[in-house]
Amino acid sequence: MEPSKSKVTSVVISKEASPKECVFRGIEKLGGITNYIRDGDQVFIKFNLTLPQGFPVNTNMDTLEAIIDTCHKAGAKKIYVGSYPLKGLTIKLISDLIGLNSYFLKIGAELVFLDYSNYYFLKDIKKKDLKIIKTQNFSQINVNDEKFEVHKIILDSDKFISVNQVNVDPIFKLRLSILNSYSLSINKSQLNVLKSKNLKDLIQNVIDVFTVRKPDLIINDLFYILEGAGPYIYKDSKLKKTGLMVIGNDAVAVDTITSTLLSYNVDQNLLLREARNRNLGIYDISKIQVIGENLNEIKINIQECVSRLEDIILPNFSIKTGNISLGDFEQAYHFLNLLKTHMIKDVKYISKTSFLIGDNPPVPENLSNVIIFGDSAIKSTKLKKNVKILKLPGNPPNIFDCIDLLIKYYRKSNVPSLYLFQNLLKLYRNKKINEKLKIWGGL
Amino acid sequence: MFNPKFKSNWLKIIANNSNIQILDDPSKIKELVRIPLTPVNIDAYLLYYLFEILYPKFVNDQQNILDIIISDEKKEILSVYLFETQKAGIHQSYLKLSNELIILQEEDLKNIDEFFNKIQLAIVKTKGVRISTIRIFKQKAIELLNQHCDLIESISNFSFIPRLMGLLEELLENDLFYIYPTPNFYNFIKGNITLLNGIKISEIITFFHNLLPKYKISILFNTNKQPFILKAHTEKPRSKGSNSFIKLFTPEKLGIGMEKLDIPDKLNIIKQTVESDTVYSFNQNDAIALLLDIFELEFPLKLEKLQLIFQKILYGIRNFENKWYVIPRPQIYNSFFRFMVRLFRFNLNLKKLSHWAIPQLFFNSLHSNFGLNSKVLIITTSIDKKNFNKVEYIKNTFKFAVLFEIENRKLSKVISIKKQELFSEHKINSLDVIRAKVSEKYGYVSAVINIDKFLLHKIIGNFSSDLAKFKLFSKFKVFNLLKKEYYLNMYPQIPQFKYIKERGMKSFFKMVLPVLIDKHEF
Repeated sequence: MEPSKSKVTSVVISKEASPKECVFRGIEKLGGITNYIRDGDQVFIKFNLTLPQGFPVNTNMDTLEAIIDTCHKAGAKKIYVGSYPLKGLTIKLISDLIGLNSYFLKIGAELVFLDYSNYYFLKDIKKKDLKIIKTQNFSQINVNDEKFEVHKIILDSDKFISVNQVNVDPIFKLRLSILNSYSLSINKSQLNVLKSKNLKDLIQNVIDVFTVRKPDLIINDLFYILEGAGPYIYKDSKLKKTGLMVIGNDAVAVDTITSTLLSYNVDQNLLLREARNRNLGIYDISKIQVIGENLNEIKINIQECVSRLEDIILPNFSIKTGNISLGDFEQAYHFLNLLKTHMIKDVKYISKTSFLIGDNPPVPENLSNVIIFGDSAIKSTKLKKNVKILKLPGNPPNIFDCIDLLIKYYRKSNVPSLYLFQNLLKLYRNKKINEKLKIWGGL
Repeated sequence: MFNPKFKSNWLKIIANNSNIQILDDPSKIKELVRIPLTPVNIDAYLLYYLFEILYPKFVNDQQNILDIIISDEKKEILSVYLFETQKAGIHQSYLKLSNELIILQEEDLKNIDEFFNKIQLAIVKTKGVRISTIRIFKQKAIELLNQHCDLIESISNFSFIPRLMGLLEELLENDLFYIYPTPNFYNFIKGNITLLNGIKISEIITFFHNLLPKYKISILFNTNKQPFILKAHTEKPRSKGSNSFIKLFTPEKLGIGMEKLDIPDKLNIIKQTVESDTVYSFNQNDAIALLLDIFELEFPLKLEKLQLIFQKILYGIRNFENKWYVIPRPQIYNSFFRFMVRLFRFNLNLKKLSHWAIPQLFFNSLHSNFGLNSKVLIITTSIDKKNFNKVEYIKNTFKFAVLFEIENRKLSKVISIKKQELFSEHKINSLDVIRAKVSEKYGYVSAVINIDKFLLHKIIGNFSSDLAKFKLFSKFKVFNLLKKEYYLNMYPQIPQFKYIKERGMKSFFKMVLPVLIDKHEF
């Protein structure tokens, strides 16, 4: 199957009573799994694995189980599942917290510890050993003069399937399958891109990773969509049940149909536009044969994430923004939503706080407590000397460090909810593991 | 057609209600009647009063009721009774009407609002009165009610509550009883029946009642108009079988004059008179308001609404000696005692219980850990010396298992899981093996929790004894039990659980207490 070369592609909009049925019937309508998986194939399934939270932060396990089951029925010899989590977290940590490894083994798949975090807990493993493992198991792929380290299991697998849970996203509006590919590899340029204010660089980077290995079968799971606040679970997060999945063999076509279903203008989707410019798939709806539900009859409107930080309503917080980099915006979005979710009590204890972010943020009216978020705001903000200021450094700042600094600044008795949250986090923020993460590099 | 015991009691109630309406001081009526469908004898006037305050709030606040008994096939009307009520719910006279008053058609019960209008027209035409409620009983319902009433007088203990609940469940589950306009409590019970998927509410009540330690309590439901006392005692240790009983009376009946006394004095007198260990006082209106809120819940249960109810209950608890009282006064409310407890770094001021932050903390943790759609399996065991086995303790000591299904912040299903669905034959049944087995049939299970009955019993016993004497060290003993895997275990372990297992409940409690207790009055 080479979707980019063909002029027409088929995409199924599957609607059933359960996610499993949606997968089974959807693949059947696409011609059956034997069109994709052959007897004896090794399959790698890329799913969403970002945080140790439940659905819909990570892929719906029922959807994943249905695909694994289908691959087995087609005669797949070995099925791997994997993804990189959020920066600073290990796959082992998430797997332990939600019991993934043993669960996958029981349903006939193997979770790949792409970050080798299953080795970090072994006492006798050394820096040298980790480096050897890394060299043996990773390949370097060059795309547009950028080097991407990709696990050999992904590259060597006969078939590559992308299963993506559709959630709202603060930068790209929606997490679609092309964006799901971004956590397929690690590279240093990903960090540099986030430091810039240029969304174009990030788009370029995402598409570069996508081209490293394009999926043979793509499932955008919008049976339930996370709306309001996402892509993680926050106070304002809600689920919308649509009972739908979009399935196809061309990621660009599948994302195009998904965007259209969700009433988004495809031309305004920056990732799809870039994919179109690079001719990575079929984006022209007239060339996509839609099977199953009628695209024109379904229009789903979802509540997007806030696009301005000022719109995150946090009692006693006044948010002032300057010219913000992507990384600062993304981290501040998650940080403020985290506070909104976990600091319910604390915001009543602390006095009025001004939260400044970005280059040259406006001077706040209230100067009793000022939090300056990120290096660029710290450099460009000039306030009177007697103002109480909490600086949260970093480009972008690390959320866990921000929590520590916030508790130190307000004192734990004034932020009991956050203190509780911090202590629970500490169970997993193991210094030794962080050192190993650094040795491993790039995470 | 009706059970003679039920009928004679019902006629007695009607006669007394009719007398009470015309008396200047009805509280002086000495006649005893049984609360319908229960073995509880009370003053006729008190029953009149309970109907007067409860019926308009929970059923209908308008006059006149029509009872219709129909055949099980819904094709024939068997009897029609009109109760004319001057006050809503006070049944004071009845009239048997002709069965030909209206012709019943099978689809009438599907469009009960139209059927009501047709009957209304017929009643206005023939009797010149308007009715506010129709209650329709199938013949089978009457048979069940009769069976229930057969032994009712000999059931003198607590078991009538689950028995009555069982009867209600059967009537509603099998569509044997209809009422129009439909009151919230009817929808609430029907909603629960659907939610619980075959798990009997009566069994849940019995399970939790059996966990309670021996008790001798009384509750004064206070109001200026007519206070009343509910006495609930267990007489034998619970291991020798349930022997609890419930009585209701007015303070006057006990010879307690309620005027000019403040509430703690009233409670002290009640305590001595009814020989209870503990006496509570709640405001009648507060209790009714809480029940009304609960009955308003819709199904699937929105967790957001449950959170509000939880908040209201906690708000009530923090308003000790304002909205409610208890005698003996719990030590935990004593300032010196609290100071002593604080020396151990436990700031336990229940008057500042954070009614708004606790539910948020609980539900946030639920969603963050398990997700917005989740299935959580709870397995209860009952370990004793004979059945304990370190390897297969869950399988050997299994009591029951329940799967809670949450969909988009709503509790959508509660499913009872059978033993054979839980355990694999040739494997050691650890929680992760159980999770995989149950996931095969019911979809991905986010977490499995195993809790032993002994631990539940200890927790409930320990915290109910707090109401009298607060024993910090006995609390620590219970905290230590939480560390034992066979009493409490979870897979996969969420951070809160891991913290308790690794660092102990004492440390967790200290850390979480500033969230549970407010610093200031808000």
